[in-house]
Amino acid sequence: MKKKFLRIYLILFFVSLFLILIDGFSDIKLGNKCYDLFSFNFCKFFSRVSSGNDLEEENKQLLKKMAALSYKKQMFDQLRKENQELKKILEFRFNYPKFIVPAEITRKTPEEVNLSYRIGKGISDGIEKNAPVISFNGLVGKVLKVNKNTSVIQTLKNYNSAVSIRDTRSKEQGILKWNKKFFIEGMPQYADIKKGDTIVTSGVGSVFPRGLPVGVVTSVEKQTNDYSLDTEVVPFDDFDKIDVIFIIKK
Amino acid sequence: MKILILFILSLCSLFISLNTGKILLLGNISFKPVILLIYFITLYWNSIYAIFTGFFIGFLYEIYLPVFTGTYPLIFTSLVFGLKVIEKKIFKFRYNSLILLFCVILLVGVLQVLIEVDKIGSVFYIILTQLIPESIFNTAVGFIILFFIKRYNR
Repeated sequence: MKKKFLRIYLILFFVSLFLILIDGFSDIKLGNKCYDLFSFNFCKFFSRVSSGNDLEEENKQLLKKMAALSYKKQMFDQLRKENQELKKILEFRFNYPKFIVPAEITRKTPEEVNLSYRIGKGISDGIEKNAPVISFNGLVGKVLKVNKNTSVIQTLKNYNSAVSIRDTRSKEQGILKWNKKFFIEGMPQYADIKKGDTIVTSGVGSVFPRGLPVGVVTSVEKQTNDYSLDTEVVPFDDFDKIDVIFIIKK
Repeated sequence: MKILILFILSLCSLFISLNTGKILLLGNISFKPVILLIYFITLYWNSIYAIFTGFFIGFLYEIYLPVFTGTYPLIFTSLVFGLKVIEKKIFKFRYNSLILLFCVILLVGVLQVLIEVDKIGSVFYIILTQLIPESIFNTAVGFIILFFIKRYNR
């Protein structure tokens, strides 16, 4: 019994070793082949056989579809954005009391200082020199130069710009200027002006009509060697990011 | 008839081990019916049947696993041989003989991990968190089987 058992064990031991060696040296893995032949999970077996080759093709098709959908989505997003902007322009045009001319900015001066825009509207569209220019949110500047079909807009972000403004809360008046930041010139120390106050055009002078929103006061400091207030104003719009402007016809 | 019973038992244990192993999974612990079957056939029935069963189950077992064909037959037949060698040195009808079952499950588990896991560093972690609790669980199952074997022998 013992000898018989030992003999059987040795035979099976060497058969196993032989199988390991064959499997190790041959390219075709016996285990994998046996799995394909004797797999208990017949569904797996049949699905592997039938759809295994189609998977790659299906994957390619899906990738193509995904690329097309991604492109369509981008287009859709762009159209939606454009639609929203156009709606905003329409709404703005209808709501605004004066007749305005919308214009798309075709070129901006690249330098930080003395920012100006070029637009594709001119005398033929009824635009005149010094006409006030606004955006969706507030005052942008004025028309500096007018040609037949083009114009140059001088923004408030310009050393030469000076806008007569007033505080909506206290009715204090001053002149908004720009020198690397917007500030109100000529505000005496006793002037009632506070952080958070809204600034609008005062209507003094012939360029800007009264009440156009300009910006918000962000800081007010008293100067020690001067009798005026050091104020800082942030306009409602970022002039570097504006795409569409409106020229108010006089 | 005996061979047929063995064949059915082998297939059942293999089926449980491969398909319902995950259902019976308790944390990291899994049920090892194949090793239990080989262990109990070797010690309490017929070692020649056991060695053939081990070879047969081992062969079928590795069809599902990414190892060289022949690895598991070698492990299981050697396990039967080892058990046969120590058979007479233990009192197999005593419950303390189940320590041997614990060692067997642990040993097979370690061998399995060494074959299937690439990083040696993680082997010790697996032994601590998985193999030892697994051996304890399967020894407990072995305890129940031994209880019934003892009752049947009376």
